[in-house]
Amino acid sequence: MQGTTVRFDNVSKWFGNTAALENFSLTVAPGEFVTLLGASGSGKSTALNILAGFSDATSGDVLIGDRSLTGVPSEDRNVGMVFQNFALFPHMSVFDNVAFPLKMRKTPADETRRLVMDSLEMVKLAGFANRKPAALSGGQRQRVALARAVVFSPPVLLMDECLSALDLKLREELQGEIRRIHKDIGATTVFVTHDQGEALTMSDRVAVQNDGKIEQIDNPETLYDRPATRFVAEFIGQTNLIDVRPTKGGVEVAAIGTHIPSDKTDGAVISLRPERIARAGQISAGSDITQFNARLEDTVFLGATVEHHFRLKDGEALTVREGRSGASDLPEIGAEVALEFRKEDAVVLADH
Amino acid sequence: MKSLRNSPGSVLMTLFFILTILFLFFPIMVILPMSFSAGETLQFPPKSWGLRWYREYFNDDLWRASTFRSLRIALMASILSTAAGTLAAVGLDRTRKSLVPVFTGLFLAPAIIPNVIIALGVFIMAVWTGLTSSEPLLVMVHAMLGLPFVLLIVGAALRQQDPSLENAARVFGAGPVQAFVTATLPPLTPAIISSLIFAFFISFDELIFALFVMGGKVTLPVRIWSDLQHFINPTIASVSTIFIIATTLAMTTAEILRRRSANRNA
Repeated sequence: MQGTTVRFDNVSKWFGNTAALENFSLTVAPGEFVTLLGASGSGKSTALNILAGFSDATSGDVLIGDRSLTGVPSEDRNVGMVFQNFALFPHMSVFDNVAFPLKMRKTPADETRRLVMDSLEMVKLAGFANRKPAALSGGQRQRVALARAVVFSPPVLLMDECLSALDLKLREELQGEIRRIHKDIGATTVFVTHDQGEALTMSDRVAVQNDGKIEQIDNPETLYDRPATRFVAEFIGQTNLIDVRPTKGGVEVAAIGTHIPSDKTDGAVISLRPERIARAGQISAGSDITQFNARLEDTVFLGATVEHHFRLKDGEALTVREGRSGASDLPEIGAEVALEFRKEDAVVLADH
Repeated sequence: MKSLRNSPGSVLMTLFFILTILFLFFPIMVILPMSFSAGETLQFPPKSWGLRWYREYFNDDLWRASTFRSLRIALMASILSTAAGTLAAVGLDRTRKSLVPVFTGLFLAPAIIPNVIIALGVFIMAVWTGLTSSEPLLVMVHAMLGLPFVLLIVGAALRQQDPSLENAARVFGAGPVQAFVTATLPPLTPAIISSLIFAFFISFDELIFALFVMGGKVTLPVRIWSDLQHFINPTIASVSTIFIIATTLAMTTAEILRRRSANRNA
């Protein structure tokens, strides 16, 4: 099976005077796994509902392949979908649930049987065909929902917060499984979640949404290492945001006493990941390194890493994370510690 | 904490409970034995026993006619009421939030406004339109009386249901009507059957409207009522006993179905 391009072309959705989605444009390549990530109210579900045909865009167009979906009802869009609460039909057996899309497509009975059993095999539920959904665990229901969504080989697969109802361990297990299935079937996948960890683990690209707009769309690494906006830097992972002042050719970091080169003329903060800061002398020379002193206020044990909370000389807080392998000589609380980071790891951002 | 068992309060509570139950069941406890009397008049307790008055009931053409009339009306009214009430519940589920209280109030009105007042209105309407002694009119009136109950029972089941079921059916290829019939409706079946039974009995034992508009075509409750006016005859007791047993069985079934539908999606 081959996925198809999905394209949002300047889509807006207004509810009265508020925009749930504003000039939303996004192209998902065939077979790509793209996640719409955002808090509730960010417009991610609105975008998915418009793509599924449950809701109409106020303006703009959505296309699957070259076909505009404007005026096309859900049932004619040929997309598979996994719903937030699974939406399994409670009166039907697992088999009938998975067979439903095939029945609607008038697939012959013997082929239906084969496809349903293949699908159930894929989600490791072949022995559960005759059960009712009520007799399954949450994780099993999720797998049935997944089998139903892909049984008819749709070129496009939609997933709406479909892991958020499960507990952490199950969620991680299913994340791996969904990735494997995605690779197998190659459907273009649009995944919606509010969980940034989930988005980073599963996706080829992540679109970070805020207030109905896309803040940044990039692969997980770029999103984490080079956030484009202050919102993204704060939303994805943990970071230190330090106030700066724009100067010629970069920004002046008063709290640390250094200059970071940048093309940005409206730089207001720098984002510095806690694991990118080290105790002085630990980063190999060769790159442009800046050193400074800070007072240690607290150290928190996190298992594989420890987190140090420092105070800079102007009173700003700074978090540093280090692996525990070489860190047997933990500095004392209250001590002045020399720290360093590569200038290229500091991301200069505007204040919006 | 002080134990409540055997305290004067708990003794009073138990006594109160027993009295309440006695009060509620007293009419039934009196009627049942009286129906098995072999005597000429209603006696409690009966001096001699027999099935005489049951034979009387089954052999009397007028009793039979009014029973069948009531059954017919109740059957049609409950179907009409359940169909309309189910659609109303589904419609209400999809109505703009600001309009929901308005329509809910409208649909529940028949259960709140005193029946005598509605009956008077219906009577005047029946006279104007010449629909007195009309079974279809009584069917519609009874359907209206059942509507609030159907709306409450089916509405409760609908609120328990995953709202994306119908969307799921749509996205997997079902048209709007097909999605409603295959995805939304079937999980509501227990609630719908339970509504049918409730609506049936609301019609079957309804007296006031039947008295106002049915004229010569008496229903079973009207027949019981008018018999009591003229002479006290143990046939009433036997009819009532059959009535009680049928109602108990059906209402129990309805309640079991209602609970099953409430638990299903939990």
